[in-house]
Amino acid sequence: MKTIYIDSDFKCHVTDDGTMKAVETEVFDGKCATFIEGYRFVPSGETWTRSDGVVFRGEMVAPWQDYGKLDAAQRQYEQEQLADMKNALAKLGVTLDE
Amino acid sequence: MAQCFLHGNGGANPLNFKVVGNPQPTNPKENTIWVNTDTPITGWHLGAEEPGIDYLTFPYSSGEHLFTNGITFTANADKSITVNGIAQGGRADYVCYIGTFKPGKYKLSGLTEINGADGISVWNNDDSTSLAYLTTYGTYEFEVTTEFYGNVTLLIQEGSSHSNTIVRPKLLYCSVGMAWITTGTLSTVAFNALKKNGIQVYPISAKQYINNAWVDKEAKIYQNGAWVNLYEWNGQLYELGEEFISKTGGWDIVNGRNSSYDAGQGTKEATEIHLACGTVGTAIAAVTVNKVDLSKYTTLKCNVTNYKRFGRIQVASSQATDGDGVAFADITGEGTYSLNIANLTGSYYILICTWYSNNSSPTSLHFDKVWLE
Repeated sequence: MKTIYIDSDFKCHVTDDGTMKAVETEVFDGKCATFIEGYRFVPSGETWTRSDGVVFRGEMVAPWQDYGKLDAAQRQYEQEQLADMKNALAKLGVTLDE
Repeated sequence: MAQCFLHGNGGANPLNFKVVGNPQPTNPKENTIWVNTDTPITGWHLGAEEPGIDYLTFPYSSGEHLFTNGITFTANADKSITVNGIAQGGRADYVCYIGTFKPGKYKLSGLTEINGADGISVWNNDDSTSLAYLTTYGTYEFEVTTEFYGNVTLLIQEGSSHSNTIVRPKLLYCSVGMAWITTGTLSTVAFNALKKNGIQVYPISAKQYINNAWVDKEAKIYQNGAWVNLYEWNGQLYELGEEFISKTGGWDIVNGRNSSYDAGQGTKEATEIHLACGTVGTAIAAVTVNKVDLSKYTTLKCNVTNYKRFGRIQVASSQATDGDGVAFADITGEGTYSLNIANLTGSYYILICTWYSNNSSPTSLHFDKVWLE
């Protein structure tokens, strides 16, 4: 479970600038900040109206930035996490069979 | 590759177009229909009758007699039956068909001279119920939503007397998604495809009858110097039983959510897909077999016809066990639900799912339409 923050347009943020609403959700567990901040989170019971007038009911979680870029950022984050773990294990003298 | 010339039904239907398979003709004439198929198109029928497959198989060959309870039934070459005698010692039955009744629309007819209580019965053997008992002239239409095993039988009631009475039983079948139409309209023409590899063309898609099943085919018609789609696809992915296989690959029922869940229940009904989770720790999803290109669309929609407790419309990179996927919108009741996909380019699986987790309760989710806008 993670706390994220949504602005008035339901866009996600990892920090609160003092105007945002805190949301507890498991949806972004394991996701990097770039990925999270490319998404829109509409809570249950609320609605968001897209610029063309289409109304979406919550709970809805969907990217507002190009998903390809978000996915690439998340994959890079996961690679970095893996590299960090391997370095930490190496310092402990643990080697991995690959 | 065989080609079929289809001519209109007399002066009222001056269609005069040609249906061809592969290879796509390089010098087509106006109104040539090209169906993307390597299977030879060898049979078709375009006639004055309303189209549909005649369901009755008539176990008796022409000239054979069945004598039962005082009645002699004689099978004729044109599949009519001559009835003679007086039914005594019980009812006299002549079975015209016994087997599976697929979901779809049926039209029963065939009484030209018979009268009284005698008639043609359609009977569900699975639950011993009657779907039709035609005792008058004209036709009787009924619809089958769940496949069953049954029979069509001509019944001559005890005491009934006949002298060369002719009965012509017919049971036309029209599959789900089609309607009874009259020949003569290009956009809605459909014709009896009793013969092997006949072609059936109708507004939703083109289908070819191969190995006793309708298979989706791409089809174009040559008009004003260009090939155009024979039918308009309006973003449908599922509609009233039609799975739009050429776009989705069909719909699978899979254990949705993740590997820690057991499978719930899911069935494909005649005009809907039904999902349910009756046990805690179960999940189920209807998912497209193929990824669908979402690049040109901004909204994914689903129409829910029955709902209990929880559901979700979801876009994912894998067919199942993908957790929340790339994007999702919760379903919280009956009606139309929308998911914003404006920032998704490329192809993804489409899932409609439900699950019963801890602190939840049994779920049920039925839907009849999924589409892109």
